[in-house]
Parts: sequence; structure tokens; C-alpha cells
Amino acid sequence: MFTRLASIVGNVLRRSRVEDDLDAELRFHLQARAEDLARRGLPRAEAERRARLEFGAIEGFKEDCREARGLRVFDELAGNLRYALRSLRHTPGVSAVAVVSLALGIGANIAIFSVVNAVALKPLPVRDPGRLVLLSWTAKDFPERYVQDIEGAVDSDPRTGWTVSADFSSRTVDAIAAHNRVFSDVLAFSENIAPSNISIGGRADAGGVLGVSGGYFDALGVAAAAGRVLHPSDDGAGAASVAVASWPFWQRMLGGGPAVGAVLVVNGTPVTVVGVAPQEFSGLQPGRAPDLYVPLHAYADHHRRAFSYDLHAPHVWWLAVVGRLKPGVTEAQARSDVGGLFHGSLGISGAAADDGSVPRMVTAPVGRGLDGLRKQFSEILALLMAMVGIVLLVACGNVASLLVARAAARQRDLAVRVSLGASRARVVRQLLTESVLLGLLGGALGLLLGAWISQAVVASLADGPREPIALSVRLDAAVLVFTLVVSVASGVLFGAVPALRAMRGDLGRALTRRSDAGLLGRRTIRSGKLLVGAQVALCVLLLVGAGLLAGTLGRLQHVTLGFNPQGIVVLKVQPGLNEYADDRLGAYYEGLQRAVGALPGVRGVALTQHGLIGSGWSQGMAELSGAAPLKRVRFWRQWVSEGFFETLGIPLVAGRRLGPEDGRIAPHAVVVNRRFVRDYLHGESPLGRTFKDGDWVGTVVGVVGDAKYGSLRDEAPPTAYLPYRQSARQYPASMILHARVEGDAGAAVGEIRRAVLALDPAVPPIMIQTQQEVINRALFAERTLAALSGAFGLLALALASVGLFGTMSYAVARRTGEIGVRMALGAPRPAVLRMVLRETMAIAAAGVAVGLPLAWLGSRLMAGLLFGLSPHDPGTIGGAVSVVLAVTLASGALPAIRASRVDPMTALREE
Amino acid sequence: MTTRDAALLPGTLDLLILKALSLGPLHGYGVLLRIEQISAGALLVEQGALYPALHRLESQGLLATEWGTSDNNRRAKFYSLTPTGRQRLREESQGWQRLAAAMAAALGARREEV
Repeated sequence: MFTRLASIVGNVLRRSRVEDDLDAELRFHLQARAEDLARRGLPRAEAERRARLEFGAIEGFKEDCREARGLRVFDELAGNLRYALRSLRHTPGVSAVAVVSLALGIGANIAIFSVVNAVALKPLPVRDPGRLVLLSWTAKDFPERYVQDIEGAVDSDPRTGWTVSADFSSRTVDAIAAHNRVFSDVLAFSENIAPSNISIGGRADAGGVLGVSGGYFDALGVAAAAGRVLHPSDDGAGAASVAVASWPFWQRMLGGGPAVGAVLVVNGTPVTVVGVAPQEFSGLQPGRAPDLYVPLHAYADHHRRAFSYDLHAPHVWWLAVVGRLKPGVTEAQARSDVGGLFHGSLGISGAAADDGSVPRMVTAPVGRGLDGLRKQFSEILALLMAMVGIVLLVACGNVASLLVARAAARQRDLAVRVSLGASRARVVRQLLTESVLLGLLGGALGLLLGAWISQAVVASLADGPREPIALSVRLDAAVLVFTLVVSVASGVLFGAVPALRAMRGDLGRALTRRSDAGLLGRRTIRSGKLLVGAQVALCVLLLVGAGLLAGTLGRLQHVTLGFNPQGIVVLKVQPGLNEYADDRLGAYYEGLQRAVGALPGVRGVALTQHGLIGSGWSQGMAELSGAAPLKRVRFWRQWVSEGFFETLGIPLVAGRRLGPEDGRIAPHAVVVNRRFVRDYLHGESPLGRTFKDGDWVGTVVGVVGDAKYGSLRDEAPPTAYLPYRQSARQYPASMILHARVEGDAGAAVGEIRRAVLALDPAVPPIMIQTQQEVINRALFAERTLAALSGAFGLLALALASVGLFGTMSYAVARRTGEIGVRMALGAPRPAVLRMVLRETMAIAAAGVAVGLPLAWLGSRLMAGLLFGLSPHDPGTIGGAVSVVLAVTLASGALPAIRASRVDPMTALREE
Repeated sequence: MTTRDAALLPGTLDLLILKALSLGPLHGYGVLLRIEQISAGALLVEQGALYPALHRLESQGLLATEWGTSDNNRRAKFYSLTPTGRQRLREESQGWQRLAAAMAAALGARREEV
């Protein structure tokens, strides 16, 4: 089989040589034969004539030789292509509509696929990524016996509901690195990218710093684009303070110039750049790109200095760990080996219970494991992929109905070809060539559209909730293969129907009767209507989905927040990163609050450790006295300044608010919200109770209304508000300032920025925006989904209405004669108009009837993405159906009007 | 063409070509003559039909080709058997001989043997 294929390919490539050889070979035969005959006594001329005669039909045998070499197929293909191009050129309008429909459908698919590819499929640009294993752990509840603080991400497994995290303590990581028997390399990095103040040459900016173990780059096989990468000797106490810059950071902050040796001031500490990471490498967390890579020791030192926080403490879990499997070692073997070391480092000996009370080691290939981004996007991307798939189906339906109409018009032509001896299979191949060619043209154009759409999608995703999402969406082999497959598949899909239909039935009859009359035309119209009906059904499905997502966005935008976002300006300062500490830090915050509060038009100012929405939160376990028995309760912690409740408009329910009296040395006070009282005290008054959060002990002095904290979707959690000046160790290194201003919040931004910089020019206000903007950013996923699904829904609707318009126009044109007769017999024009519109509405109604159950089933699948409305929300479904009906009616109107303007005399003459 | 000529059974042309070439490399016309010769003139091959068969066998990897010089100093395309071709010839001749023997036995059967 292989030799045969190789010989066919060789023959095709050396086509003219093959032809020459064939000629020479046969010429030799004829001459040799003629010479033999001449030797037997025939005259020369007669001998040559006899030789040719004996040989037979020379061209026929040549053709047989070509076929024997497998060349016939290619001749036919070339012929088919020529024919296909000619017939596309003959009907430029139909072809253009078909190609553009397809390009839109395929382009949308390419766009979403290239995002999927960038997020999920593209292999990491490191050496042999398939051998890299990411470690993480899972436990039934938060394993508070072993861990108090996770400086990274904690999720819950959607299948089991268990806690999942990829963060480990330094002690665990050291144990694994030193004693494992399964990895050739172990590398670790801080799962959090630390927000930092970075300045060079007096220019300050905020940037993200990733702590990496000394062997990080070497284990990954990533070489520096300039200078050198970090090595184990850089990662230790007393090593020089060095960093590797990411490629984008090098471009942005160092202007792409000489980087090695540049000295940056990172959070007040000088750091020397020793190298630049390659452009394609942005860490192991897709979509989260650090600006600087620093050794883990330096990273932890900074935490100790700036936050008095010891990352190396055993109950602080902050490191993500990746191992490179030794040759021959399986992931399962690795899991059991490092799982034992993990338990050893937690002081668990022997066989641990497997009921989830003890965290259990899990492993995953790095490509699939480290993906906060994928988790964040997978559902969205799956939904979008399904939607663009449906858009493509609608586009294919369009092309199919155009081709069906054209194939019917060409029935005579096909009949002639068959009666002249072309096999039916050959004609079907011919028609398929044509539609695959259409598919490829659509795919080529779609590639351009797709690149453009995907940029738009990435731009809207980049406006992420916490940090900008860095995605590199580029055309690569995967995208090109995807395009090719989708183009050819849709070519075959929409080409098969018309091709098989054209060949069905009695072609002989097509020869003898007028091809554009009677049965054939009617059958064509019927399959056109079927296709349009299917398109309408798919549009209903898409628009119901889009409507539900838009409704979700609208409800989230108007959700009860529990605080008043109007007129609030939010910004973040990180003075704790710049040598501010203790009393100086406290004085800075008080000065800040005073300075901004003194601005004209500012009605209130408050500081909080975390933003209210979409910028993290902190959690803790508290002991509450007076609740018998003594309870440990999980609560959401927020350090706040005086004036917080007044500024944000959170109502006081009982007791008092936090005020100036709650200073550093005053008795500690805490205010809880209603949810806290409801969940933990069953409505009993919390006032006067002792609230113990680790070694922080205070008294509950007030109860306030519930306000959202962290997430917009979740109910307000049980929250405790604590005065930041009474914070346990150190004042928070960074705080969020909320200023309530009169009038336009956006206009006050400039003045507030100036006031902050006047306090200390080296502490820039970052992420300065209005509270409304904060909320909008937190809704980025919902907004992206609503916008894209709406756009795809409308695109599908536009494609379907083009299809409907085409089919109805065709139907009207075919029935001109009949309409002429009706009108000649006295049918008034409005009756004709109504007749055609009725047909349109019948198609639309049938489509809706099929589409509704589809939407019913489809929307159930996306219930998890919805908020505040049921997947079967009647208003949304009604709206989608009305839009579909209105648009189909409008696109059927023009053919209907044309039908009603038919001049009976002309129509009858033509008949 | 005389009445003694046997019409070729389908499939036998390939076998005859392989057999002819097993005796040494030949050009197309030579194959024709060799078949006539080894069948003592009893089997005649239609000249034109020879070439599609040669090209098919070449394309299947049973024959190798090479341009060389004929007896009377003309450029000609010579065919020879590849190892696969030799193998195929062995298999097909055995099959053919079994069939021929069976046919002969069947056709030679007399009433009393039944």
C-alpha cells in the first residue's frame, strides 16, 4: 500500500517526465515491431502501418497506463476544480453570499478556537512538558489542623465539593525536593504574583513579582533571551539581590534596551536585572504573567520586611510545586512517593485515613493542572465554542439552500453529463469538489475574520477581574489545522445534501422537460424551506441562550449590594512596600484619610484592607464567647478605618459603629453583620461578646446590615469588620481608599490623585477607578459572555434571514406564472402579499416550534452561569421568539411585495 | 492470427509478464516476444494491452525499470523483477498449477470414475 502511494505521489510530482517516458516507450515498441515486420519482407512504409494497426488504439492504452499509475484521479480532480471555479464565476452573487456566510461562520469558530488553543491546548514552551507533574492536594474541608493561611488559590472541586489547592508549605517542598525518588528535578514558585512598586530612573509603576526556586528555569529547560536565568546559587540567604525580567516588562519598563545590569527599585530594595526571559515564556500559569522573577528567598525576605510575615512558617502554604518525572516513572508512582513525604512533613505517620480529614496528594500534568485561568474560562469557552458551532451550522444551512437551488437549475446540465457517459459517482464527486472549494474559500476568508474577532475576544477577556489577563493568541499549526478541518467538513456537510439530491430521481426526465418548472422546482423549494426552518430553530436556541446571559448580566448589575456604590472613587496605595512601617505607616494612612477628606466635594473617606468587590478577601476562624457551647466559626475578615460604614452607606442595626475611639491602644472592638448573627447566634444579640481571632481578642460593639464582600454572585458572607489600627501585628501594607464625592465621581479622580501624590510622590495611587467601574470589571466574564453570545446570536439570525430571503425569492420567482394566473382570475394584490407572508410565517413558526424544545434542553446546561433567573425564564424565551419572528417576517416581506407586484400579463406571456 | 491461438484468461497476462521477466530483464516489446516464444507461439498478447499491465505491475512494486540500450542501439525502457515480484510469481505459479491440475483432472473424468 505504501509503495503504491509513494509511486502515485512520485508520478504526480514528475508528471511531464512520466508522459515523455510513456511516449518514448511506445515509440520504441512501434519501431521495433516495424523493423521485425520489415525483416520479414514488408516494405518499410507498410511495416510501420501494420505495426500501428496491430498495436491498437494508442491513446486509449496510454490513458490505461496513466490510470494504472494512479494519475487519472488527479486529472479528474484538476478538471473538477476547473469546472467548479468556472461555475462559481458564472454566479458571482450566489457564490459571494455563500463564501461570506461561510467566512462569518468559520471565522467565529476560528476566533473562539484560537482562544481555546491559547488557554488550554498550546503546550507550554518548556522542555518536554509532558513529563512535568503539578502537585496539589485535596481534603474534605479546609484542613485547619495543618494550615492557617493559603497564600494562593483555594477552590472547591466541582465533582466532590472538596477543597482543592496547589499550595504547600516550605517545609513540605523542602522534604519533597530532598527525599523524593521519582523526580529528576523539582521546582517551586510562589503561587501568588506579588503586587509591587517597581521604579527605575525615578519612574514608578506597579508590577507583579513571582518568586521562583533557584532551579526553576534550569528544570524547565528555559534559557534566557538575554543575559542569564536564575540559578540555585541565587536562591539563598546572603545571595545578591537579582531578578530576571519578563519579555513584556523589558519592553515596557526598560524600553527593550540593554537590560542586564539595570538596577530596579522593587518595593524600596535595589534589585539587579541579570537576564530577560524568552518572549514565548510567561511562567506556568496561563494568562497570568509576572513582570519579574526573583529567587524564593528574596521573595520571602520581602514579605518578612514589608509585612512582618513569615512565609516559611509551616502553617503558611504558598508554594506551587512541579516535578519532572524520571524516565520510566509513572504519575501514579510519583503521587504515592511524594504523597508519603507530604504527610511526613505534616507530622502524619503511617497510613492516613482516606476520608478527606487529612489532605491527600493529587497530581496532574502541568498542562492541565495549573490553570486558574482554565477553570475560570473553561465553562465560558465551552459555551462559546458550542455557540459558534451553531452559527457555523446556520451558515452551512444557508450555503446548502443556495446550492440546492443552483443544483436544481443545473439539473439539465447534469442530466446531459450523465447521458454522455459520466458516472453518477463522478458527478457527485464533481459537485462535492465545488462545495469543498467553497468551504476552503470561506475558510481562507474566515481566517482573516477570525484573527480580527479573536483579538476582540482577547481584548474583552483581558479586562479581567483582578489583574490583566495576558493571552498570546497567534495563528499556529493547531489553528490552521482546525481551519482546514472545519472548512472541508462544512464543505462536505453542505455539499452532500444538494449533490445527492441532484442525482436522485429521474435525470432522463430532466432532459425532456423544462427544468425550471413543475415537480423539480417545488421539491427544491421544499428542501430550501426545510433548511431555513432548521436555521430558524437554531437561531431560537442561540437567542434564548444570549438572552439568558444578558438577563444575568442585567440582574448582577442591579443586584442588592448592601452598600451604595454611587459617587465612590476607589484607589489602592501600597506604602508598606516602600519602607513605611509601624507608626510611620499608621501616620501615612491617617494623613491620607485627612488629606482626601479635606478635598472640596468629598463627603466621606474610608480605608479597607480589601476592596468590596472582586479584589480578594480574607477569612478566618473565630471563637465566640457566650455562645454555649463555645463555637469556632468561619468568618470573612475586613480591616477598616473609622467612617467606613458611613462612607459606604452600610446601615447600623444595633450597637455602635467603629470610630476614632477605636485607636491602637484602645480595647479592641469588632462589628459584625446580620448574616453573622443569623448564622452563628440564631438571632441572639452579639453585643458584648468576646470575639477571638487567633491571638486577637476584641468585643463585639455593633451589628450592621449585610453587604457584598468579594463576589457579586454570592450572598453577603458572615463578616466581621475590625479597626485596622488595632490590627494584630502590623498595619496592612496596602489599603484601599474609598472616597464618596458629590456629583460626578469620574471628575473627582484627578484631584484625588494629586492629593495622594502630594502626600508622598513615591507611593503612587494605583487602580484608581470608580466603584461602578470596579463592579463592571468584576462582571467581565458575564459581560464578555453576554456580548459575544448576543453577537453570535444576531450573526446567526442575519445569516438565517439571508437564507430565508433567498428561499422565498426563489419560491416567488418559480411561481410567477401561478401568481399571474391568480391575479388574472381576480385575486387582489393584498391577498397575494398575505399568501407569501403566510408561507414565510409558516416556516418561521415551524422553526420556532422545533427551536423551543432545543432551547429548553440547551439552557438547562448553562444554568450554572445564570444568576437571578431560571433557565426557562418566560420573558427571555418570549423575547427571543419575538425577535426571531420579527426578523423572519421582515426578510420575507420583500419577496412578498415583489410577488404582489407581478404583472399578470407579463407573467402569463412568459409561461 | 491463427485458430490455434488461445485467448488469454483474465489475470493470466500479469503472470505471463512476471514469468517472462524472471528469465532476465526485457523491454516491453521483448516481453511480448518472450511470451510468444515460451508459449511456443500458442499465447498471443494484444500489443497495446501489454503496457497498462506493465505500468500497473511497476506501480505495485513488482517490477523495476531502467532505461538502457536495445540490441540495435536504441534507447529502451527495460523491466526487471523485484524481489517482491519474484515472490509473487512463485505464489501465483503454484496457484495456477494447482488450478490447472484440478481442471485437467476434472475435465479428464470418465463416467466409470464417478
